[in-house]
Amino acid sequence: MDKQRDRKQEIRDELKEISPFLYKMKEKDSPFKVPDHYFNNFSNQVLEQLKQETAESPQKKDIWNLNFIVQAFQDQLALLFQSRLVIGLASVVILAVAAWILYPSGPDQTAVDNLSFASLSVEEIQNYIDDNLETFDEETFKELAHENSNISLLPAEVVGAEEIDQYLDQMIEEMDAEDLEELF
Amino acid sequence: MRPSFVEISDEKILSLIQRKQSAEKGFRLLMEKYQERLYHHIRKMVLDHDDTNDVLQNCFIKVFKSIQRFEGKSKLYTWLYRIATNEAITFINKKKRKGTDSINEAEGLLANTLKADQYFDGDEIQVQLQVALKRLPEKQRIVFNLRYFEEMSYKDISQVLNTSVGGLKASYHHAVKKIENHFREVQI
Repeated sequence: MDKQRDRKQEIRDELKEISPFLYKMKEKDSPFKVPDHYFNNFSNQVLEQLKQETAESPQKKDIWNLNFIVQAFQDQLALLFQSRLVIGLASVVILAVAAWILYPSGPDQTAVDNLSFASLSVEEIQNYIDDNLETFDEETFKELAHENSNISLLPAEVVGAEEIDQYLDQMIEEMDAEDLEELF
Repeated sequence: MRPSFVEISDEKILSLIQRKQSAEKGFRLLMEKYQERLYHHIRKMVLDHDDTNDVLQNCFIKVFKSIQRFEGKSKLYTWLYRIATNEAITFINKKKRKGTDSINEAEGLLANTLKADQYFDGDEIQVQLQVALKRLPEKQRIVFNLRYFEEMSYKDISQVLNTSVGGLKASYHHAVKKIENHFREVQI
C-alpha cells in the first residue's frame, strides 16, 4: 500500500514539475458520469451474453477433422490478407502443416500432439488465431509454403485440389459486402 | 460476511477461474474487481457511455475466452488494460471507417457533443481538456490517460502498450506540453 502511495506521489510530483497547470486540474472530479446502478448488474449481463454465445456455438468438435482446421484458418486469413492469392497460398501451408500434425514422422510425437492438440476446443483455436493474428506474417507463410510444397504428404482421400477450390469459392461467396469493400 | 471483491487477490481469482466448478464465480469476481477501472479507461478513449458499455462487454468476453492462456508473465491488471485498450482502439477505428466516430469530429462539434451528453458533467476546462486530448496522436493520448488519470507506473504502461519506458516518458512529456499549448491557444 505504501508502495502504491509512493508511486502516486511520484507521478504527481513529476506532473507538478512539468505542468503546474495540469497538476492543479487533476484535483477536479472526473466529468464522466455513469448511469445509476450500472455496475451492479454489469457482470450478470456479460455472463448472460457468454452463456448465450456458448449455447449458440457448437461445442467441442473433432479436432482431427481437417475441414474444420482449414475453415478456421481461412476465416481468419480472409480478414488478414484480404487477397485470394495469398489465401490460396496460405491454405497450402495450412494443409501441409495439418498433414504434418496428422502424419508426423515418429510415434512418440503423435502421442504428444494428441495430448496437446486434441484437448483444444474450436473456440480455443479460434481465440488463439484471433489473439496471435498480428504475429503471423505473409513472408513466413510463403517460406512455409515453399518448404512444405510437397502436397503428396496429404493422402488423396483426406483432401484434394478440388476440395481446396471448393473451399476457396465458398469462402469468397460467404464474404459479406463490408469484407469485399475492404478488399478494394 | 462476504469479503469485498477488491480485497480478493488476483492469484485467488485466477485459481478460481482455472477450476471448472468455480470458473464462473472467479470470472464474476474478476469483473467486479476491475469493471470500474476498465470502464473509465475505455470511456476516456471512446467518450460515450453506450459505446463504452459495448467495448467493456467485448473486452470481458475476450478476457473470458483467453484467460486460460494468461501465463502470468505480466500483472493481471496490465494484461486486462492491454485487452481493454486494444478493444477500444478497434472500436474507434471501426467507427472512423464508418464515419461515425465522435472523437474524430470537428473540435467544436466534439465540445458541443460533450456538453449535450447527459453523462458528461464537466466544466469548460474539462471540455477543453478532451478537445486537447483529441488533438493528440493516439499513442500519446493513451499514454497520457494511463499516466495522468490512472496513475500507472511507466513500467506497467510499458506492459500495456509493449513500448519502452524511455519512449513512454517522452510521449507523456510531449502530450503534457501539447495540452498546455492548447489551453494557451484557447486562453482558459
